[in-house]
Amino acid sequence: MKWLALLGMSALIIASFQVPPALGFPEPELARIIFFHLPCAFSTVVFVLFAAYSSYRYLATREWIWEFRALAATEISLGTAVATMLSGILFSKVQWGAWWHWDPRQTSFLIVLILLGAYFAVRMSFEEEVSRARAAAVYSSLTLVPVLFLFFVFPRLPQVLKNSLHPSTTVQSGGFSQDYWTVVLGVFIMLLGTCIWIYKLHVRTSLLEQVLKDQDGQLETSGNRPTAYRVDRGVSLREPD
Amino acid sequence: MKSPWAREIGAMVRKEFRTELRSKSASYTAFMLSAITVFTLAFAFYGRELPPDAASGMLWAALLFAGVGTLTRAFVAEEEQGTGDLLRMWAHPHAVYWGKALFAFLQMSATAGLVTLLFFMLAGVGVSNYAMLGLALLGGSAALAGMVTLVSALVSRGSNRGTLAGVVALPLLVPLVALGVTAGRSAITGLAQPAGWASCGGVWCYTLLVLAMAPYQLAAVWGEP
Repeated sequence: MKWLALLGMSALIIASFQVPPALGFPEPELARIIFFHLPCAFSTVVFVLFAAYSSYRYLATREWIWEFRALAATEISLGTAVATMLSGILFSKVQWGAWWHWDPRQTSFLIVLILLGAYFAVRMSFEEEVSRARAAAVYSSLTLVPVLFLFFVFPRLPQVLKNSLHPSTTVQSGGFSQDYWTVVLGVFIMLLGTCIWIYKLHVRTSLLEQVLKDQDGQLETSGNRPTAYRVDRGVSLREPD
Repeated sequence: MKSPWAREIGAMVRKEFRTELRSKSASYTAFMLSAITVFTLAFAFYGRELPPDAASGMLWAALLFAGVGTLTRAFVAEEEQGTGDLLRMWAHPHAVYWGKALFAFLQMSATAGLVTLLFFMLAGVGVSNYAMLGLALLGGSAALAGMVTLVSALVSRGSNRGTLAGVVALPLLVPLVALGVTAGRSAITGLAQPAGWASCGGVWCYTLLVLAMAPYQLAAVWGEP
């Protein structure tokens, strides 16, 4: 399966250089960055929404598996968001002449990146596992409102769209050929598959860590008694003679 | 006040008022923080005319810092003073949230009113549509109060609470500020009125969403010891 994925990804990379250059861009040859930029952005949306859903499920059921799923999904979305940002910055430089333009979509994605970063700041601030999981789940589900706004509403506001350099209008007005879309979709499917594979490994690792922790706790106790009982002795304090 | 739930909220608001009256620290700090931000922003344009386009952004920046800087104390103070557990035993988490958020809203509205007056006096900018500006600021104050109260509960038992509150609250409030700035810009300049009203509606939608979600989130993060 992994070999098949590797072959598929290699074929898509070759295909991305075979399709004719996209019209409507100042540097049509370099617009191929979109083949990797767009799938990363789509994957970020998928995993951010799934992380919020998993967090909600954790709060509703208090089952650890949902906490592990939320953490894995957020970590992957952070990775894909960074990849989106880096490829976007590169695109901005080659097409618009500057690394950063305060384009509405660039800016809204930066804020999503900050929201994802803040999730880990919340996690790091709690040492106790249950409090950490609870706070992280609440924060992750809270981010759903700004994330939906930043992904789907803000870049489409008429006054924002008017000032945007982003090629979303080129995309929506049919500036891409069918070949372009086929490669974008192919890369998206491959990337999503890879991310799901990493996600599953991450969740399985977290579950194994949990099992190990539980077993470790049992080894330190005799029978059903917690460890603390074994060192709990009466102490008499006497004044030295 | 017939139901115990409403009585709990009323008692929470009274408690917050009494605590605030004893020290007056939160209101005073909120006003001072906003005033300093307004003075600094006005000073940046010393000798020059403040562009009406930029005025709305500056006003919202001042309000945002005032809200995040002071309202995050709501639950943090309870945990620091050791009264958090007492509150958990005494009242339902929803009632605690509504009581604290209501008090925060009153405090934020008063601060927003004073800061807006001060801002327009210093900036020398006129307002074309008072109703739009007032509605956007009122909705914004409610959303700020609702969100920051929840963030305060979220960080109250963590480490580095002060810094963490800013890191958590500011990105969550970005959509509110974006909508508020657009509404404020239309209200000040008098241009793009339909877009301004749409943004004003957006501010209130955001407020409703926050207030609908927050009590449940608070119960999950703060309601259990």
